[in-house]
Amino acid sequence: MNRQTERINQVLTRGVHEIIGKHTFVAMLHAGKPLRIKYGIDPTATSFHLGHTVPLRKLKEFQELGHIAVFIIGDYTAQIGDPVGKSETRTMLTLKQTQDNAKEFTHLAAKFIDIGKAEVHFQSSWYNTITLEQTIRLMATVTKEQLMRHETFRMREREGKPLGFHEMFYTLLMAFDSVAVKADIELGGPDQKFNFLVTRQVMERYGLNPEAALLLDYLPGTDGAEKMSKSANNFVGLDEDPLVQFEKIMKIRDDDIATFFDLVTNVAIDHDVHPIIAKRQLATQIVSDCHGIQTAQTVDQQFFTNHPQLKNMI
Amino acid sequence: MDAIEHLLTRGVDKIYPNREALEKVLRSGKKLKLYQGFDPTGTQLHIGHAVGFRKLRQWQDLGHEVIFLIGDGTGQAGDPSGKKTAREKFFTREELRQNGKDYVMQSGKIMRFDGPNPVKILYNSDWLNKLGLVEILDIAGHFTLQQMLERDLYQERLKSGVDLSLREFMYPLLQGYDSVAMEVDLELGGSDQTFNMLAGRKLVSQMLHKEKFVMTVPLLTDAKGTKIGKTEGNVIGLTDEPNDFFGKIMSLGDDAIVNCFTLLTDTPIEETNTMKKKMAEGKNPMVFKKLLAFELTKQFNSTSVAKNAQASFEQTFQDRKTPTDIAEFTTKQTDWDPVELLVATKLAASKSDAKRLVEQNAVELNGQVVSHQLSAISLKNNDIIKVGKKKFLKIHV
Repeated sequence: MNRQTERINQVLTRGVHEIIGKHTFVAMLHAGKPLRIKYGIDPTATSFHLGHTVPLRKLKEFQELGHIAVFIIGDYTAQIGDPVGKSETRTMLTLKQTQDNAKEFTHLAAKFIDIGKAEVHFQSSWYNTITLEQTIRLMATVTKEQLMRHETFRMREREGKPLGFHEMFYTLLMAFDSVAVKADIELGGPDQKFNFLVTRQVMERYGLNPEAALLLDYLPGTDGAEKMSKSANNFVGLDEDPLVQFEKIMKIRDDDIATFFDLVTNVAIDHDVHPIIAKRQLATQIVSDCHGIQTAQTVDQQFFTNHPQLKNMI
Repeated sequence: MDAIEHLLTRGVDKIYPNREALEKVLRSGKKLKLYQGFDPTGTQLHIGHAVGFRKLRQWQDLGHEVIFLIGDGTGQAGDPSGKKTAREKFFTREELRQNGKDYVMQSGKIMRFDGPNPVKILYNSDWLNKLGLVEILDIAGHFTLQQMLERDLYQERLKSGVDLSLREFMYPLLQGYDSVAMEVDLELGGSDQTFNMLAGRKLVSQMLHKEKFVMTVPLLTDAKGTKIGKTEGNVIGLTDEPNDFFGKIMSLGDDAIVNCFTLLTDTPIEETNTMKKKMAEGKNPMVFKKLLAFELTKQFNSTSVAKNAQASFEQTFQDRKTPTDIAEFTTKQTDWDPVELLVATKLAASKSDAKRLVEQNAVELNGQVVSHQLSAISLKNNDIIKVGKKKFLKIHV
């Protein structure tokens, strides 16, 4: 196996949960033509957490293979809020709020991808000027029945909970992003599967080839939950105090260590070392990614000074 | 019955939230801003539209501010009201505006667009087409999917398994937003528009924090509930040529007479009740239908025009004489296959239609039935061809 094939295999497998449109996807990768890899993130809050870096790292891997990273800041979708998994309609944010939230996003993303070579788009660059006619055209690409296959929507319907009509726009706006940037591949979590399937259909309705999608494994929460998220308060914020970050990583469950290594580092876990050592390696790496190697070393020392018993265990 | 009572009862289906609340506002002397919207997706207005126009005229005469709204923005979404399949045809904004101008001309037979307190013409593309996505999301956020699905029409479509494009859910929202943009106090419309109008009532309440009344007028139907005025290929247009118009009213079913009097004329209800009674007792409905035809032709034209139309009708159809003023067909060909002649003169829609007419002995040449045994007939100048009871054509060779 030559090096290129090996790297492609790595991209296709490490931390990958599922591939939609796998056949075309693999063919596209091997064709050697630069592909447009889309990843979108909603500025529902001012910062992002470690979970968001999983697709950013994957994006970087694609960049290293010569593809084009297309990073989308969802200042419109963030107004609605992704309804996936939510049992209640969230209050809408204003465009100003989402744009204020997004101020640091490019800067943060730059820590994980080669931002100089990436395309960065705010959704507002097409949604500020979309006409009613274009919006209606977009709405005509899907039926109500199709959108109601969304598990969250079905759950709300079943439980008699309100489903805001604006929430049905979430998927459509995501889909139109792919039309606007002519994405070849999109990255996201397994809960985005429905959105990606609709996106593929919408792209075809606009006369484009449907994008393929790479569903990436969830990064577990610091509490051992399946998914790290802001709402579950089990996250490691990228702009958090380095010592706090370090402490949070040192508290993750032992059986999640390998997944963390897979998803947020470039190295493989050494199964032979004590879990405290593995976590220490992980925490140092993560703090270093966020705040630099020197800070990482400082907080490492600080942490073990504060926790002498742990120091004695290793 | 005073004018306010008349306004609130005659030809009114429902009032939201209720009649008492609206009456109270009107009795206080407040002048309201109200509107009715029209999707200019066809160019001919028919007597079904007149029901709303007449009501608008009453509001106008009482000094209220009436807006005639041309839906050149919403029309693009296509109102699914009453349509059981997803709409296919969409109009350009230019087509819609042009149709809208035609609407104003035609409805001018009933409402006043000049003089004191004229009806105002507005185009909703003026605000709808400026709506950004942020505003659209905001509007959408006032409704839940469950509320949207309460609409009978959607329920019907869902039951029949016809897919609903998401686009169609936009229509009530955009119509609702019209009320917000114009800050109206009342919307008037056909009873089939109730859902859309109530969507506007909700939006006005939530976005402007005020009450928007809704007044619905009944659809013009015969006693069996079949729509009048818009039947396929036989629209009774407000601007139809008067003789034609008179004839079309005369060809309505007898069970349409009372409804038409109620909704399209000011004939007192006591009189229409008497008519109803007399017809039930066996009096020939033709008498009342002729009264109706006269009344409507007069309303949309003038008394003298109505008199002429009636005279012409009586001469043509009742005296069984050939009318004096009939269409001509000019041709150089004198020998004709009767079937081909009927098609060429457009007296028949198709060859098979023509054959059928001949076989039914429905075709006459100068008062003689053209037998289906005849493979050719000869024409000379001023010959009269008659098809059925009403179609005449003079030959010019």
